[in-house]
Amino acid sequence: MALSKMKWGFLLLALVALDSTIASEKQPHEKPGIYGDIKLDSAWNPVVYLSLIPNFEERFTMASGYIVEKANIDAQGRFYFSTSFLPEEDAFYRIHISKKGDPPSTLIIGGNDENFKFFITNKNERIEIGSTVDGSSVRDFELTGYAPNVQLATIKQWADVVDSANFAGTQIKRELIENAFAEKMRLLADTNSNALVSLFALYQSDFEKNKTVNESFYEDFLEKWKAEDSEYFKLFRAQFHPAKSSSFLLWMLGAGCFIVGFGIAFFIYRKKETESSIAELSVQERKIYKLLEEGLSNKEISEAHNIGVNTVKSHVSSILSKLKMKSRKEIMRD
Amino acid sequence: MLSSFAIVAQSNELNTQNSLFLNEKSKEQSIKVEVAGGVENLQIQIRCSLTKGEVIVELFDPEEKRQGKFTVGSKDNLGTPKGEKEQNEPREDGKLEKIVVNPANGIWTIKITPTKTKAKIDVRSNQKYSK
Repeated sequence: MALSKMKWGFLLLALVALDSTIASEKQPHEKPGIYGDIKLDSAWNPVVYLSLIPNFEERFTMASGYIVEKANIDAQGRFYFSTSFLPEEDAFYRIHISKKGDPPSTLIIGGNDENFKFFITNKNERIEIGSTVDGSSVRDFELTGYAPNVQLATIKQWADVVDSANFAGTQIKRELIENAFAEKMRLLADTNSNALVSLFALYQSDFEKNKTVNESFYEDFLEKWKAEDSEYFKLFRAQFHPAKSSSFLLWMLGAGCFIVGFGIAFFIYRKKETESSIAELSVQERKIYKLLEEGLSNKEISEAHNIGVNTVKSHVSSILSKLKMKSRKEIMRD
Repeated sequence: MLSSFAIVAQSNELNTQNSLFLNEKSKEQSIKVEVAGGVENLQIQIRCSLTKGEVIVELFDPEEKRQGKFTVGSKDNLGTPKGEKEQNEPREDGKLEKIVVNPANGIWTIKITPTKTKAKIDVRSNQKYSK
């Protein structure tokens, strides 16, 4: 009986041990994080850098401040980034490697030695990066594990096709290829269910050039993603709406210039009209006009010219009539 | 701002090098690279060592269409990468490389726009001809 109990005890312990072994083997595949298994040649440093790209305009910005973590590549080509410190929400990341002799902040764009890869993730997702070919570059890395990156990879493949198109060909051919690519990007942006993938596709489509001719498309896009308040969308909205605000400012500036111009023209007109009317005044009236300009009262004018106050009043009335003015104050203002 | 320029021609390659020393008062600079017929690969390499500000580098093809915009450095993010040894003076060493396959013939323009920058910039171009 005691032996039987011991057997059961051993069996139970063995099962627990087996279960924990299986759990520990499975754990790396279930735990969120970025797992790499790559094959690099000796030209590259065995270090991978992870950068958080704050907005799509800066996807080709290379600043060490964007590097959030680095990981060593072991002898088997494996590396790992914990994602526990990354935001809960999806964000845009870049991994890159640098060649021996180059600074860590190195970005090689285009060609076989392209050294970076973009991807979308958050702290709860698991990303696997692998390469099957010995001595391959980052361009050949395959990234799996989080669905939005499949579309991202497709965008990259299309962009590579455009980049590798024969640029020595005619201008028309080149424009046709670029326009077809931009159209494809807009279609993807319109239909994709992931906000960041959609927005990335728009940035790839050179939207700055297109936004004025296809304004309703971008308005609809913004309406669709109006709940998105990430920095990526905030910048896009700021880039899209200045077109309106700058034209409004231009309109305001134009209106302001018109009002000022009109005011100056009216002032010059009034001045010229007054000058021509002054020529119609008699000699005595001109003398009194001079004193009115200086702000003298009727009594002071009568004393200055040794004439009666009623005579002054009569002259002032005649002056105002000839100059088409309502009061002596207008003479003083002129 | 100081600058220097060199051209090296080999059997099937043409290399140019420009060195610029930028300070806070430096303004926009343009470097022209003439691409003749038969060039298979155009490589533009910009190596920056900044202690302040940022530099925007734009590449325009002969039709004046922008083929790339890259930035080195960042106004608010100067410093060494996490885990790297700190320097006495915060310094950003960066390198950008753009490779254009079958580039269009004509004058390519590299526009360098510094923003309150204190930097040394080396701009190299390499043209590989088809054999």
